[in-house]
Amino acid sequence: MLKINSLTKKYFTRTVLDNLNLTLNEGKIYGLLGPNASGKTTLLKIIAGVTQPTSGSFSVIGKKAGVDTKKIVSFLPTINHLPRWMTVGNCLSYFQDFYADFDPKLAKERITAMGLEPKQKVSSLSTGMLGRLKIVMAMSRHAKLYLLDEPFNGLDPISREKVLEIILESSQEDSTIVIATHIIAEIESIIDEVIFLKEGQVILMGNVDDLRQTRQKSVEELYREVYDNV
Amino acid sequence: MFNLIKYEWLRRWKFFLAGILIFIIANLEIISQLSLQKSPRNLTIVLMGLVFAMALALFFDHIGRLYRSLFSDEGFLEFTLPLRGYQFLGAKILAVLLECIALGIFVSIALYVDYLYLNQFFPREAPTPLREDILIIIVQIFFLLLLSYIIFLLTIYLSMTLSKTIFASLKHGKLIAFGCFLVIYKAIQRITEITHSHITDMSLPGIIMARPDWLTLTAILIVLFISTSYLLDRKINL
Amino acid sequence: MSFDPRIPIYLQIMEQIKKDIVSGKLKGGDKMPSVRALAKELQVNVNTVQRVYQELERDNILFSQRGIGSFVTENKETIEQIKEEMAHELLENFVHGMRELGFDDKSTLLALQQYMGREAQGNVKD
Repeated sequence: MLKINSLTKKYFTRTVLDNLNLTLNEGKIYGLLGPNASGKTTLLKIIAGVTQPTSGSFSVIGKKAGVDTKKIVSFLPTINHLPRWMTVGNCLSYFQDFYADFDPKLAKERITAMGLEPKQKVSSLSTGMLGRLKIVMAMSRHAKLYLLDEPFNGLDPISREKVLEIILESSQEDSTIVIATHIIAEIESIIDEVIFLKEGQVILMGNVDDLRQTRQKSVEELYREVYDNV
Repeated sequence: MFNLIKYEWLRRWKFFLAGILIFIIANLEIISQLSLQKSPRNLTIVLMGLVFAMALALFFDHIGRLYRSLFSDEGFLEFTLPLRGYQFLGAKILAVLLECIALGIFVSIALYVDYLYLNQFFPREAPTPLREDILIIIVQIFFLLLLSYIIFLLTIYLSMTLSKTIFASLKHGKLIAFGCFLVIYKAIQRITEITHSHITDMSLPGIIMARPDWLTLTAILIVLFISTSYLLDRKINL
Repeated sequence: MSFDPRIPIYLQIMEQIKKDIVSGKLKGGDKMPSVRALAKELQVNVNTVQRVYQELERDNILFSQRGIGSFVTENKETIEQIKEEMAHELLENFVHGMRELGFDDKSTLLALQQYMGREAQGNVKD
């Protein structure tokens, strides 16, 4: 459903993505792993449409990059993209106003389940609560492709668990979820496939259970093996 | 697109309300002082200063609206919305335009009411009725100012956009963008000078600028708008 | 249920289900929870559970009825067979472990007897 063709991104003299090719399938949860500066965030930013590749292209269910892909791609960035002046309620109506695939009923239920209240201001939320709000906003769209950049960063264990729950319950046969993270233990049991990025290229990719079987290693151990012997 | 305007205003309604209240208070103060034929007191000066500060704040806010989208984390929200560049920029400009028009109308009404009121205290001069030709000139001046203001704003927007699009991967993107601003600004000045028609027809009363000059300004505005929205649509690099 | 990240998760879940069948927690003909429900309960991916059900169906331990769900096999032989397989695996591990420690067959049996005797009296620390 997501097809990436020889994607390259250069900043000044630095090459962040190096002729990257990748095809992702529907109904799967992917873990996008790699050390800092391996190109994870840049890749997600390009697919979300906030950054342009230097060369190469991608398509989501056959649609070319642009407004058409933005309609079906839901992006959760690491930083806080929700305006600080807004209340939780404002965020809900904002998403409802702009995204045809946003499910306000589901979002409201989740807001309550997360212990958030519509009157709270974004600027008054703790990191944990903000993380919960961000995941609710991103996953309450019935998108085709979800891009989650470090969804567990800075979150307490309870918030992490709640974020995980929402990710799992949102996974559908016709949608794909990509989680970029370095907290591997957290996603070990929920991902189908793993993608290891290094210096802007895919160096290993596969079904996690198959990798466990053939290599007798956990994803975390595999990560160490892949990135240690440099 | 109109949804974007809605949220621009939802964010600032307290600011607008405060501005209107301060203006009304300052106006009442000045009028009461004038009608008593007293020299302005400190309070009057402070209030006038406040009105000026609010106007200045609104100006910087107008510049800041695109700056915030481009350079702050909120850009990750705004540029993932399924909107085209022209819709995005159009909403920002339209909001500014509507604010300026509303402000113009509001201030004009207030000044006219002041004028009528003050006339009671100077009975020698009978109040001049609002003549149509004067009104036309005022409206023309207002729209000329508005057009120039939007062009100025778009020049800034285009320069900021350049630093986050074409120059995004360069080291001194912001500096180059400022250079761009100066260049575009100079260029616009040159264009208006060259195309200036010098044929303001004084025989037609109430015309402040010839039609070709209006067209030039409008053309500049359109070019700036199209190039900025194209860059926002296709080349954004947050 | 917590998982050992070194072993394929679907295998761990399969193992657990087999244990539940052998121990009688799941009885022949019992309806299994839906894939989504079990995934939610175990906090794992839906596809992982899907794979578990597929593998178990292939081994004739579960059978699915279109549109209704998956059921535990009613075939006693199959259940007996799983029981034997699992017991075999445990014994194999145990005997190999004892051999590695240097026990011969006789002393292994003796140790086992002694242990069971002690356990019957409740003298074993868990």
